[in-house]
Amino acid sequence: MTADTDDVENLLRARLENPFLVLEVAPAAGGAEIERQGQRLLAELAAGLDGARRYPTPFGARARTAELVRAAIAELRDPARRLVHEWWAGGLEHAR
Amino acid sequence: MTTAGATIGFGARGSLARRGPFLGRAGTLAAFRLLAWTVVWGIVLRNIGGSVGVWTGGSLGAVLSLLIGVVIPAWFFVVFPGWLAFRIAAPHGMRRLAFAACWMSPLVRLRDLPGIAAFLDVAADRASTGWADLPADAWTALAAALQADRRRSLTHAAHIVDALAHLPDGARFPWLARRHGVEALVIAAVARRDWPAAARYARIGQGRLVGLLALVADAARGGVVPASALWLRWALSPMRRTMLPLVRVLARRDRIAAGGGATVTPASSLHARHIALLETAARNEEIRAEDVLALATAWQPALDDAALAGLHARALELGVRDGAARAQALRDQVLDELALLLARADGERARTPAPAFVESLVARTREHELAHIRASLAAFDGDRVAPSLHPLAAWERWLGLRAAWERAEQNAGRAALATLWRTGVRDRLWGYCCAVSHVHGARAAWASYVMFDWLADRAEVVGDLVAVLANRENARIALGHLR
Repeated sequence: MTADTDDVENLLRARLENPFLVLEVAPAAGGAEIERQGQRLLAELAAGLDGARRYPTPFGARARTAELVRAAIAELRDPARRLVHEWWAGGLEHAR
Repeated sequence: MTTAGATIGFGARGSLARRGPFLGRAGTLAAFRLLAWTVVWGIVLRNIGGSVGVWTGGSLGAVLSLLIGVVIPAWFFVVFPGWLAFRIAAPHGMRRLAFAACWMSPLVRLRDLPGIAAFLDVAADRASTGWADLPADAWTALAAALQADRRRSLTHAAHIVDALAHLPDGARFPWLARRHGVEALVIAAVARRDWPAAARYARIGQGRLVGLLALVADAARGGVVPASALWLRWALSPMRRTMLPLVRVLARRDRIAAGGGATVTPASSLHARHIALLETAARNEEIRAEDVLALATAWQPALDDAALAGLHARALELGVRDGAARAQALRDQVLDELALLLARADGERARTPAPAFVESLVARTREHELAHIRASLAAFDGDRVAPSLHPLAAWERWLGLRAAWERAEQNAGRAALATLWRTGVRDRLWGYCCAVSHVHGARAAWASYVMFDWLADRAEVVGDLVAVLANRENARIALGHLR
């Protein structure tokens, strides 16, 4: 049963670490825009800008790290994964 | 059905009270304790009476005489030792004084003392010596719950608390354990601001502080708690200085809520509702089956064939291979997540016809739960119950299966459970409980009684009369060793 709790926590984390949320780009954004935004955020994080350290979600702001940004860019390069993230992010867009 | 464990015997390791030719060690200790009480309280009473009598010179009225001669000594005798142990000695790390005070308390049975000592050790984050020799009882169960809570094994702690909340008649849950043991659990949850856990723990507790903490947890979770009720509880409760900042904040919040009428923005989209439920479950807060099923009903049009065709079209735009399969996998993913939520949800689902998506969800949840029970049965091998398996650990292992079974009762239906019962659970669990009883004897009596009683109840639900009778008899024997 503890595994169930871990499962739920992992699922929640996965949903709130949606690459579109992490990168703060629209689900319809093109590949070039995603790459550009990712590099901008990485540069801001490297410069230690406060605004880059958190990203908004419908459930409150969450911490953003360089690893999370890199993982988000990588996820969205895979079209199959992008399809899933896009679907979730599209639904969440209405809630914001 | 096997008959090997039809009835259990505790004779091999019979209760302490029955050992020996006359009194036995436990009897001697009890007699010595009674003698010590008589001597100590006799001297105290005599000195109080003598001093007050000399001081007042016979000028006291009837009420004051009763107060000084009866009420105060009675309070000293009954309540003071427990107060000294749990309010003064234990919080200040004076373990021996706490133990001595418990020994002097008429509210503490002699057989509870080792469990209390272990609980005090766990509460003070000390290694408990002699844990292996302890019996399984409410105190050790509370110690295990506290340990689990501190390890953040919140589900396990919740299982223990739930089992303590549903103890059968006769399974002792001492008043001091309800009061001070549960208090430590609730305080641990409140300290980390885990209000759902605090509210859950407080349900099995008693006392003024537990009552205040329950109210605080309720207010913190958004419940309507009048500030006056909060302040009144606070005024009557111990630990007022510690609780003051929290009560003050919550009382102010209550006034703000009453005046401003601020509301929380509800998660509007379907996806957001889904994640909101995941978040609630991840916080270990209770979720309702009807909420999960309502969400599943709302999901249906978003995941029907037309919606999946739209997703397939988008997959083609993105250049995804097997777009149809990907869309279907997404639907299955949502279904799996809902099944996980439904498996954790409380409350029974309505037995009315439901949309196809909801029926798929219920079927998936049922399969998940039954598979979980089948998989967990492997741990209940009576032949492998050894003395190294502490009776409390054996009981805690059973708690997982109990929780899984009771969840399955909400979704799986009687027929599926009856099949599972007759094809594995009954014999496996029965053999396990009998083995625990045989191996540990009276030390496991409390745990055995609880487990046998639960088995008998489950057997009754699935209509297994033989198992009902045998387990009731086993429970009766175990209960005999608790008295």
